[in-house]
Amino acid sequence: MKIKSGFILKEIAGENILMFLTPELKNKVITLNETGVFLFNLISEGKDRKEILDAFLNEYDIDEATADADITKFISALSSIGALEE
Amino acid sequence: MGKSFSMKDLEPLIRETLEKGFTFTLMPRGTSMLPLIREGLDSVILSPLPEDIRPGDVILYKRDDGKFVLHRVIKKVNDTYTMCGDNQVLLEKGIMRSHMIAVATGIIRDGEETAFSENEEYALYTKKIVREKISKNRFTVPKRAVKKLLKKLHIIKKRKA
Repeated sequence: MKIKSGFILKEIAGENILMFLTPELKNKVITLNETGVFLFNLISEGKDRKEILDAFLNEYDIDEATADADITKFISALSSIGALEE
Repeated sequence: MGKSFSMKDLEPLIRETLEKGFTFTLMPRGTSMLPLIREGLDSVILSPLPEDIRPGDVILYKRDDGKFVLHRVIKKVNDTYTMCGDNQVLLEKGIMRSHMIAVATGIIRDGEETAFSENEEYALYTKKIVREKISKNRFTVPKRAVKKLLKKLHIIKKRKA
């Protein structure tokens, strides 16, 4: 699972802005909350599902089922805007 | 349409986007570039600065006081550039390349994107604007100086003391 290349993740005026730069994803700008940034960074580092889950559980005070569900939700959100490599 | 950010907040994002070799689309505020850019309606496509900046180029630059401006290059004087908004008269001198951030290479109007380099009408418009700004700012001799000279040459009589 990989994020498509050509993006910038930057904090602007207190918001985490994720902006895609390539023509196909042009004008796709989304804001991420803190958890979103955390997960996004792990995915863009190329971590697999298990590694992400472990890191998530390590970082946040959360049970495995919820963590897993959150990760799934986030991945499908990224997928739906076309941000993930097929 | 969404949240709007100040230019100060956007500057790092714009710079990074351009550094990565991509364009940045910006909806500018203000009326100084009418009729080309209509506030709230039109967006400009910003690209990295070219090696050669020439009269006619529309540049995003940051003044020494921190204000961001999107104006046109009217002329180049040695290492400095003289700028003016299409809807303005006063020329702004002394802008250097170090002030500049990006060049506008196109516009999005009513959902349609137009590249400046591919548009003849725009080329003509640009020439017209640059000519107009130069001619409006041609050195005009002040009336008093003219009168003084004419008196000196005895063309008009001096008033008795």
